[in-house]
Amino acid sequence: MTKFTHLEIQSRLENVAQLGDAVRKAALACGFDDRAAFQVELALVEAVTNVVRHAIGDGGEGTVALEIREEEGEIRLALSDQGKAMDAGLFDAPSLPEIDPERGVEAYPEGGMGIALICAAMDDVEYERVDGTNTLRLVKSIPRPVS
Amino acid sequence: MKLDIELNGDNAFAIFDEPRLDAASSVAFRSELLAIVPNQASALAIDLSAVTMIDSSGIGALVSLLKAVGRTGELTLCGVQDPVMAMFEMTRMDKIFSFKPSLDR
Repeated sequence: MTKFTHLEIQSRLENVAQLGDAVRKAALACGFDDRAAFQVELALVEAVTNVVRHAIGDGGEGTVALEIREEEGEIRLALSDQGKAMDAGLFDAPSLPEIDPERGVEAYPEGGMGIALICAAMDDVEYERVDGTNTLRLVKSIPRPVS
Repeated sequence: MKLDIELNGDNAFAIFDEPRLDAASSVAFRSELLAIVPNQASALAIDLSAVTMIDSSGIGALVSLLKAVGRTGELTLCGVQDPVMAMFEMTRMDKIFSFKPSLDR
């Protein structure tokens, strides 16, 4: 069975939680465990926060739309907005910071991890801009047990 | 944002009683606790047991606090729920923070 949900928020940081909560519930309904459902929500929250901060602006005129497609063992998210274009190259093999506890605390990053987290949390991430609309598609499946 | 802070000598205890440490809440969280460490206390323990979602802004705020306490101070994160621990592991920040199951005063 496939279930579709459409949600839309005004571009404000305090509204991001509404979409995050809906995605966590949907991921759990698809059969993801608590950690994987957290990761799906994390990817969505990072993506929406990027749109609010960089594409439209916090409190800016514009909305962020989310389509959730739930299937047994798989969730597909499509996030769209009419804000500024993203640099599509940002999604090419981003990496999370190397953390070396031996290095000084000043070396630890305080930001800039959002896109790397999206890519680490999801199986498939695709960004496109068509006719002034940004769309980010995120897919995650439950790994099938090896038989 | 609900953040209760208690000072006991050189130790500060904070209870962050919100489900989300994210881009919307982390700025106030960071600035309230940076008013405490390192000037009023060198050791800070934060109860995060109510948190079900932490994003990169939340992790960034915790890293700021870690930098503020410095090498001579101490920052301990208490009661972190298992799914939230996934975030620390993904960012490898589990290696640099100290964790405790609950806030001991």
